[in-house]
Amino acid sequence: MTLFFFCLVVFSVACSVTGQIFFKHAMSDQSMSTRTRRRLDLAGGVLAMTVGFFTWLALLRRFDLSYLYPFEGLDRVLLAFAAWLILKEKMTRDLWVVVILICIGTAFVAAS
Amino acid sequence: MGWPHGLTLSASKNLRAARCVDDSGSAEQAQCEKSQGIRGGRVTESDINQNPYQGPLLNPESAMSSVTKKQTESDNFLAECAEETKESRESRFFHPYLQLFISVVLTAVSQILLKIGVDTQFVSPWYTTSNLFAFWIWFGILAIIGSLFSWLFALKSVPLIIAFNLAATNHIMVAIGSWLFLGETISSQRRIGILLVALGVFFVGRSAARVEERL
Repeated sequence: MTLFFFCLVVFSVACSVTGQIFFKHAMSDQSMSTRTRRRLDLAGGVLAMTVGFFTWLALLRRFDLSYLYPFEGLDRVLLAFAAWLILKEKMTRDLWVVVILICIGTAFVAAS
Repeated sequence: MGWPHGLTLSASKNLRAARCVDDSGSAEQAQCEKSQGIRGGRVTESDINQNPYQGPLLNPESAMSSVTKKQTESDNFLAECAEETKESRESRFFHPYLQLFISVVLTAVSQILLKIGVDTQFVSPWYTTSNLFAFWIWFGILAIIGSLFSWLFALKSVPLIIAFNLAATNHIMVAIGSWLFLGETISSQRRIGILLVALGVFFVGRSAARVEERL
């Protein structure tokens, strides 16, 4: 897998995670304050999910499913980093171990 | 169906009354009379109140009406039982862990269907009109929607942490599915990688669930 395709996989996974966060914001009670804001969240979620889905389809055309799917595990890593950056959550030692485990796993799959 | 139960009840009452009449001991007779509501051939008002059938037990008409009443009650009971069985069957299907399992299986199925779709029906460039009729992809999208609904339904009862942990089995299922249905060869290196990712996803469940709740 070239760097370009790896970036494309990360982009697809990131789109999926972003879409999920948008949907969650749109559906949660706290964001009921303005209807426009809710609609924007929903539209953002749909857009991110659609872009992620088509990128995933393009990648599926090129790679085996058993090769590509383990990269989906990176969404947890992205979520952990998003929490670290946005929510200022602490990256605990256990979390680091898990992140490294997933990264080693994806590296194994990428090299196969 | 409802008959034997009602008949047995009233018949046992009548038999008990007959036994009381045959008894010669006055104390026992008094006890029997008291229990059956018979005093000097008359039925007092309080006896009627105490009698659940609202009438003298030795009267055949009231015995029949009590049988009919019992039968109706039994039929109602059976109908309620049937409804409960149906509900329990439905509740078994909507069991949160079963729904979680369905969600995981549907996710794997959707990925396999999408892969079949893009391999056999998808034409580049992506905006070609014939791509709209790629039914395997549509089935894949339907499976994704189904999996989403099952997931949301399961999350009503299953804690997010457990759901996230169990979702790690997705990776194993997709690997098995692509080997079985797509004929992909999975090398030992890839197998180790998939297992490591699944383990990582399993253990990150707690943190991921906490983050998901906060984001």
